[in-house]
Amino acid sequence: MKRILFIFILAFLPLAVHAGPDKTLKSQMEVIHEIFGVNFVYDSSLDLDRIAGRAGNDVVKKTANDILSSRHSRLDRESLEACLAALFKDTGIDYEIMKKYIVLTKAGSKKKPKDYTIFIEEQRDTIDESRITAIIDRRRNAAQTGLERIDASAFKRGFASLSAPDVLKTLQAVTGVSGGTELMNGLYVHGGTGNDNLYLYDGVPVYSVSHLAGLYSAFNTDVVDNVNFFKSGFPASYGGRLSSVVEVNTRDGSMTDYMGSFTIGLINGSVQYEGPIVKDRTSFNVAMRRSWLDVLTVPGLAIYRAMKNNSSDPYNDQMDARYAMTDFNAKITHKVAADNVLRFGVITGRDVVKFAHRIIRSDVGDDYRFRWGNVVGYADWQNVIADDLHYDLKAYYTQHRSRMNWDKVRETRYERLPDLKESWLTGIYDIGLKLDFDQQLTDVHRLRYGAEHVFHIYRPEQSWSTADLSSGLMSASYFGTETAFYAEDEMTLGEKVTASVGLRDVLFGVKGRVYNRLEPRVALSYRPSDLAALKVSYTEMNQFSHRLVTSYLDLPSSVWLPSTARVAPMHSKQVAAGIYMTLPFNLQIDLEGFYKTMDHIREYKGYRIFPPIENWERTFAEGKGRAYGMETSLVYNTVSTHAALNYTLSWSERFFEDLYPEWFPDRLDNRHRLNVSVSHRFSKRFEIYAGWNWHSGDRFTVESQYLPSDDQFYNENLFTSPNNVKMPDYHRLDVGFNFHKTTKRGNESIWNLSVYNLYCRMNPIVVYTYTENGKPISAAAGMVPIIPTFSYTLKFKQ
Amino acid sequence: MSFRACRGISYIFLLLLTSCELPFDLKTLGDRDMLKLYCEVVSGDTTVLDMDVLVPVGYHERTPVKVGPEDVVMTVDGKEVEIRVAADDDPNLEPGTLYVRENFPAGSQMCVKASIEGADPIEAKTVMPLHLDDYRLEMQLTDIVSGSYNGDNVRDMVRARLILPEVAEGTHVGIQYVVRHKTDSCGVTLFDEQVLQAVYDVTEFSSDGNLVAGVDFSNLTRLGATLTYVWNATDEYEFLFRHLTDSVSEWKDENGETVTWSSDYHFKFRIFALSEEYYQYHSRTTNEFFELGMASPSYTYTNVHGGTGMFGAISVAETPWMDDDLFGSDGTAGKEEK
Repeated sequence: MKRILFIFILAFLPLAVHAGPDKTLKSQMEVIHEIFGVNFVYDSSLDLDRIAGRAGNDVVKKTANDILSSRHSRLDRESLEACLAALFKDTGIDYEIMKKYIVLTKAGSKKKPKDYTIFIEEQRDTIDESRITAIIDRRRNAAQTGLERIDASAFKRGFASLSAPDVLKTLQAVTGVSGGTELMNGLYVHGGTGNDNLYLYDGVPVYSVSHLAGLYSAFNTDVVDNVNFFKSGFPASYGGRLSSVVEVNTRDGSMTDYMGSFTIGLINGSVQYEGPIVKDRTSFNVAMRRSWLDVLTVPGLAIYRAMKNNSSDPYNDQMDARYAMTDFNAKITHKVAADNVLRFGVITGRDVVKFAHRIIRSDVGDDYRFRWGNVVGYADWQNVIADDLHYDLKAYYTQHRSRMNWDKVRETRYERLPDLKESWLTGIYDIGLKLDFDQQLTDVHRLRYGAEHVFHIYRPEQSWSTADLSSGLMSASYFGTETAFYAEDEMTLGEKVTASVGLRDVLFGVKGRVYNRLEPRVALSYRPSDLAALKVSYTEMNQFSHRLVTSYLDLPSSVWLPSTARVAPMHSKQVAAGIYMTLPFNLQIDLEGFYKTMDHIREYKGYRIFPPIENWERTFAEGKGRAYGMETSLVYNTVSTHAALNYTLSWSERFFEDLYPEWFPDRLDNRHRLNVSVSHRFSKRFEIYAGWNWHSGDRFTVESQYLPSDDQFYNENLFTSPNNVKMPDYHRLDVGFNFHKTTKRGNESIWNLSVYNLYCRMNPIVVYTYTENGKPISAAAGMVPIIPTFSYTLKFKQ
Repeated sequence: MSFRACRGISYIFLLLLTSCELPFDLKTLGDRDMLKLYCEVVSGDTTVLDMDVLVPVGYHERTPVKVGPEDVVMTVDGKEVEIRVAADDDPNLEPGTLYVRENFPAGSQMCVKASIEGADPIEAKTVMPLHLDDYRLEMQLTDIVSGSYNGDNVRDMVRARLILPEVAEGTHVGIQYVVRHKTDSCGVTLFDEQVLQAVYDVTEFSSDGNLVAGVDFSNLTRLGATLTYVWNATDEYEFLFRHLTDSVSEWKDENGETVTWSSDYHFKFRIFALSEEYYQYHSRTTNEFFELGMASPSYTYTNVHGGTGMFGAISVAETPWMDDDLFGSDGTAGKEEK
């Protein structure tokens, strides 16, 4: 039966073999994969898009034909080696057969295949994954702790939050990470504040990573290739934030084929298209997303307005409200030579909220518009100077801006008053230049070194108002320069020990003050066997840009401000250690502990939605934080099944003398956190995802003491300490289904059905107290119910 | 699936959808009483130690014990001071109130400790801030519309600029504007004292005395409902307060007799120096997002270790009562100095 099936598949091979006059190495590798069922593992720097030699093509073609004609009754290693030898002859690529894997390396490379622990993900039944992707898991071989590398396919395993796969929501399932407010894209890592994560988009810092107050992340998964996520053990090349680095790398456009996809979801849609501009030399990759909540609300409100227009009530009013989100990604990749690549990219994101209210007869009312978003642009040059030395030069611009306009038309009983107009704008603008070198100095020493210079422009507030009696412009600006130099030596000390010792020196200059901070980065790894590694790391980080927020939501009203002469940079120290093991039966287990301290962190102690900029240094309390805990991750991986059990035991505390004289629990001091997820591909047509999240309740502040009085109306409940209450535990179940189908034109369609919070537990987000018959009563209330969503995706290839 | 099963599942679904609340047991907050101390130490005056015993909200029916003078110890610069109990005939004090009658020089280190059975012992410290013996107050009448005095008797605002001598960095300074209104029609005094709020923008000056920018006064810390405006002593602030003008009104009553109503306003300023604890406690505000569970509240400040409340100190200076006679024809007042 197996043989018949195999022959059936091979019957199509001649089409693949004969498709087009020019076969690339990669396309021939696909054929070998189909014939022998082997998977290729290679570093992405290998040029596999080059045209294969005639000899190699002939051998592969002959082997395929021989199998079809049953001249070979069984597939053997000898045939495989013959194909590989012919295909890679004179290509500068070495191969090594390791059971079911063919490991490709650059000829003469110092990196030996046996140093790699291989994890392969294969998507043989989907068009855009017909090329074989390989992820080399270096977790057991890199010295750093706290590294998670997530491939793009992980975002599309079957669950899509609100009909869109999301990078940040996927990261929320990682150990040591709390998601914060439900449904939002919070990332609180190892007790962090949520505003201390460095988000890099193709190496460029991005300041706002959410749409719609955090419901969507700003990263379009249609173009994401992989995500590197650091929780501890930060390499010296990263800096500027305390708690984590989220490095989102986008995919280069295909150099050979035109392909793309479009998706229609419940509240948004997206389109992505890529292909060659000059074949095998220059390619493009563009993607766009847009929400259509306004498509639903605008006609509904129009009907409502039409109905109200007929009313005779003189104070009859009309309303209009709309929200829209768009983002756009574009990337051009140009290969000057095989090892010399230029990349240009643009990313924009924009949210718009509009609200209008009018009294029909008099035209009195309000117009309110709120817009916010990012703009990122970069040029990147990667070049290999020699076999053991390459560099990456990047110039970039990034900005985040929020703007609010409010126009009010007013009148009294007797006269029309002057219109009132208000405008408020906040923004941060960076221009940066970055140069990184990677040099394999000797067999023992691999050096990474470089520098970065960023010019920051902070415009925390530009406001303008025409009040009754005055008008004026209020403006505040700060300028800062941030220069960093770093060097890191990754040493291979024998077969079992790897050590990474690095130092990052940062100079931050702002009016009236220059800060110089040294950040040591040390990591050590000991591998007693190929299946296990013990690691320990120590890092210090500084953060010179502060995001000041007035609520837990990711609101566009938050502002970015620099460290000043009065406001010291935030600082963290973290030590982490762990054991990482590969077990039989495709199991991997990690056990990691951490201890982290944070200084000079900020907490708003006021009441306003828009943070006050005047005297801002005094309206934000300065304090300290500490977090420690242990994380366990058990993962089962095969080609069709991925299962993970992630458990975290942690403590997180704060000390703000302006708020309370003792250490108190952080809001997200969730003692236990458990995430269990399974995704399984039953067939090329159907896959399923299920994930269960549970954690100890968030902390909340509740009046805890009662002051009795003889006067029953004067009894008083008092707040006595922050975050004194643990809310009920949080748990929910999410499921997702992907239904794949091949259309008549050979394209792939995917129906996704996802259900968030399947059993509809209303997890509490607030605890409140009230008095009933003189007796204090308390309840915990939630608001997020079951949310089913669906989407339709069509992937096409021309 | 049978109809009954569908109906049952529907009921369960509806129940789930409507179950937005979960019960929360207040007894989990603990069962120990807590001492609350509220004390504003005012130099040269009576200092009341307002001591209460709080019961946990989950045990609200419990009757707390009373705190007696034997339970409290107060020291000033290491020396114990006498704590008295107000008698029935003590003026301005409720019977049973604990108080101290002492003079506390600037810089005095004060400490209060208390303990009762069933609650954790408390300890709180504060330092007497400096006395504002030297200050200069520049005042000018100004027109609310044009922003400058034009002599047409439209004098709605008094612009007050407080200039202090060298004071310690970080000292919190406050100002109150107090108005007294007397009338001689029927001999009625409408109010002896009323604190009025600042009306308009305050103006921040740079160190060289030049105007820097208009600043919304609501950003200036306002201590709760006391209408006391507080700022850091290293900045200079100018305030605008509503000026109530003396006036005489006449009208005929129902008998045709002329009734004369004259209003006679006086005003003065109170100037404060606040200890850090006093400032922190009274500048607490409620973050509105807290009600939705979207922010932390900011009113849990206390410097009472083991309990709650505030132990702080304040020094007060007052100008004498002033009236319109103070101002010249150009609206400028003589500079009040102390």
